[in-house]
Amino acid sequence: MMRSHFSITLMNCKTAVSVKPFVRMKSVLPISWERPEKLPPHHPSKSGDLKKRADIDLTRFPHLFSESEELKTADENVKRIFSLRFQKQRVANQILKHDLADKVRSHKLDYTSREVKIALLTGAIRNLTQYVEPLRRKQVPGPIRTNMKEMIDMRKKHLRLLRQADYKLFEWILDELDLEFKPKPLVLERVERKQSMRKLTDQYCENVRNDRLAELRAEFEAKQIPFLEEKLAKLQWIRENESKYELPETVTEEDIENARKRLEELKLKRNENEKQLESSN
Amino acid sequence: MAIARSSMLLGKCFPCVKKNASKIVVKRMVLDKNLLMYFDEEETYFAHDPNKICKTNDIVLIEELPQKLTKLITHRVMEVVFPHGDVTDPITGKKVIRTKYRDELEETAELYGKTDRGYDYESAPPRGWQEDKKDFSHLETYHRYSADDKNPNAVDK
Repeated sequence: MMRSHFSITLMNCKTAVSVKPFVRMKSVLPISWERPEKLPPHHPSKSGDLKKRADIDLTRFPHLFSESEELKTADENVKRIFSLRFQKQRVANQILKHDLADKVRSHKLDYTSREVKIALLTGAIRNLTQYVEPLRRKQVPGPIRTNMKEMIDMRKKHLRLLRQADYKLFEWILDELDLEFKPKPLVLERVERKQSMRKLTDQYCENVRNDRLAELRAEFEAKQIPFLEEKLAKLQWIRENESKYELPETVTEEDIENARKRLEELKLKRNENEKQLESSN
Repeated sequence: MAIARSSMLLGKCFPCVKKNASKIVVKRMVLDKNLLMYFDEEETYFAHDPNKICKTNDIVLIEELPQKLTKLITHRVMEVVFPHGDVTDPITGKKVIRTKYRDELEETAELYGKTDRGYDYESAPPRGWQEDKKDFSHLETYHRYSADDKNPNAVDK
């Protein structure tokens, strides 16, 4: 294979040579683009969780003994030892999870309905979020990271299916558990500089167009009242002169009345708009 | 293959940016003569709906207008046949949740011991009271492509 002189010199060259320097496309328009920050899955805008993990009362008993009659009538020291103060963190987490599930449970043994699944997942996600939030991404063990993301995705799926089955209950659950539901985008798109610049340019052009149209509209509207006043005066003058010099009639009383009506309506409308603007400010 | 046009169509509502209109997707089975198999073919219509009676994923009936309203709007929404998540069984006239009646589920709950959760089908407000508050299912979302983008339709990737 024949090699060009240029490539041979490049190959012989000991230091790296950049043949085509990278040039970033710059827009002439006042548009700047920044890549959106990559957010962790537990971020409220991504997970849809509007509330954080609730604080727990440390005098409570574990979930297993919560209904025990013996413990309720037991000695103070026994109660103290059984309380959450001397239990592991995961026991408190479990209680928080079941508190949320109790809120939405329809009957005592309801552990498998969709709303209870959502509540249990929400509890688990909130517990994990509290642990993960202060850490950097790499400080969190991999399995926990994946587990959490899977749980968030699963909750989204359950919410979507609950909406499909029972819309009223879905809305009540959103309100009760403080969750937000946004559907997935129908089209999957990569975030790219060039494509984004194009979209931003389109947006900018549309804004310019709308601004100019609004300006033109305001300009015409400002001329409307003086024009109608002038028209009314002229019509009246024509009618007077026609009757004075006994010329054939071209302007009737109706025309004058119509013009006056239109002027009054316009003035009324403007006044109302001004009042609305003042009240909104 | 071209789809034969008819004046009334049954379709599914999709999120739409346009005001006074709803986006309806009509699905039909079209025969492929080479494979002798039926395949889905979808067609999108924009139907005039000033009161926004249909929500995303509702099954609605639309009718062709005698004259086009705009370049896009060619139909009008006649009625919502199956509201999404609030379906009535046409034979018995009872409300349905997936494969079960609501009464059945409430009976089961009573047998197991009903809890006093603050939710009841009769006293619950009509669907749509959480719209724009916590339920954004009516929005046509997209992936956020710019850091300055504050549009509620944008979803973080």
